[in-house]
Amino acid sequence: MICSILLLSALFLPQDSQRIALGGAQDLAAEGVIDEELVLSIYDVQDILTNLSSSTMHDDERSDKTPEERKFERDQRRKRIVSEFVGKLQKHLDPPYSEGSNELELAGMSLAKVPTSIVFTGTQQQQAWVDAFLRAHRGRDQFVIVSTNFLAGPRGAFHDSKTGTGNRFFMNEQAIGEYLGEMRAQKKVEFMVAPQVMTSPGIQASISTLSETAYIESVTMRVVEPGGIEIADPEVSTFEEGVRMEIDITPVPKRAIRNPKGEWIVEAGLKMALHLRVENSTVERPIPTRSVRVSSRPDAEGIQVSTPVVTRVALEADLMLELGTGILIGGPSSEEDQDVAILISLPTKQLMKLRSQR
Amino acid sequence: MNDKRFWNRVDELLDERLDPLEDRDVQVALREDPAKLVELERLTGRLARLDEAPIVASQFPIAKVALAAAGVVAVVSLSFMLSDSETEPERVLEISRLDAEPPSSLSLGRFRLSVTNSGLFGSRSSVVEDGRVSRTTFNEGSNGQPNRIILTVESSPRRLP
Repeated sequence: MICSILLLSALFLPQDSQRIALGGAQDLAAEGVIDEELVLSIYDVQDILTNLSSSTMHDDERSDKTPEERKFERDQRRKRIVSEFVGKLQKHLDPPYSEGSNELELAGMSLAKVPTSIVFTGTQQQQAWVDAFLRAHRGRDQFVIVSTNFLAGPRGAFHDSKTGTGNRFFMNEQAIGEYLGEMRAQKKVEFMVAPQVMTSPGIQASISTLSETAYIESVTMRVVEPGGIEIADPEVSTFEEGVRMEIDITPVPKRAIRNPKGEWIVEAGLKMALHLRVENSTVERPIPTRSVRVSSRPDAEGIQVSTPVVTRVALEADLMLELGTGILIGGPSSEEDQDVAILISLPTKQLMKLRSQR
Repeated sequence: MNDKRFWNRVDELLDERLDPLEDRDVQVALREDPAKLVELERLTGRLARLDEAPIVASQFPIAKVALAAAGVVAVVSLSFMLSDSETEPERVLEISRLDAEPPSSLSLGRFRLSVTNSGLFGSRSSVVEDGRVSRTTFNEGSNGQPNRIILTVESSPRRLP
């Protein structure tokens, strides 16, 4: 009840500031009415949510749907974006979100049909972190490059004796460069493809270089009229070749700590929470063919059909990296004596180069 | 710690007859770059051999035995650290954990790595997920019907092939 009154009164306060801390909560804490460590704060998130939702509305114009259908879809998408944003805040909150003591709610509605505020009840340490999280999402000129390397090698080529698995972390770009150099020098590891994506944190990015090729998979002999003529009816299939990447990056602040004055400050630097899906499909060349005879006539010639051999390497993962770091995720291939690995890194050098060119 | 500083620190510790693996700075540097551990092992191994050589010609058998024993201890300690033995001494276990665990800012959550190979023979796939490796072989008959399906699951809480 008290919280509701505070919330209602706060909503009538000017929303210019990015964060509105309720002094009343402190007083109540001092009186022991609420948990002394908890603070209720209101954060203005209208700009963040408006930017996020507007950046994903571009494909509406291309659809053939009616205005009502498009409006419904836009509303659904806005709701999904808002829900995802709040979900990410809750997921990465540090110290972690506790159902018993923390509360996170949306309030208000802007003209762009996105909530204007987030109302969060948490400790001072958590509030400092939330403040940093929202600041990280306001930097619209930030770009992050996600670099990947698809590698294939003999069994055990990517095994790390320290972790006991095919996975290993790289703490800096020098370590990544040295590792790739070592792999190249061994000449046993094949560098398959190395796609990169540059994206802005908070926005889902995707690239696809897939090309579709049609081929005759089989042939059925049919007898058609007039004349009872035998004709070969080909069954056409397709295969895809290339790379597909879908990446969602969330900038995540580090832990909030107390400075000598007793104020909560967040450690410098950001972590990047990545949800990524990458896949690479390759086709053996030349494509093998085989001859099939489908006619009952003894003098009939065989018809060539294709039998492509397609290898698809796919990875879906949730990671936490920093700029300049990387991770290698490896495992066995479908071939008995082969392993595959995907190196994911967030390079900084190219980012600086891009910035200097702007 | 860069390479030069790391090796300078190792030199200082060896000059002082101290075990570099006991030093906190060296441990942190090894955590950052585990490849240095192999080089450190080589260096310590060479030093152990060098220590043995002059002692063979020495006229002090007690010193010879002591130095040879020190060399053996150093080599055994390193081999323990590099091995997967579960009976590692406490100190070595600590270093092993430092190497294996990334800093808290880096982590790998759930992941699924799959490789599928398909062709005339049918398809073969290998999937790494939740600490398990599963392999599936699907052989196709002449009319596209499944002839044979083989499913293998290898499960290990810590180690994958």
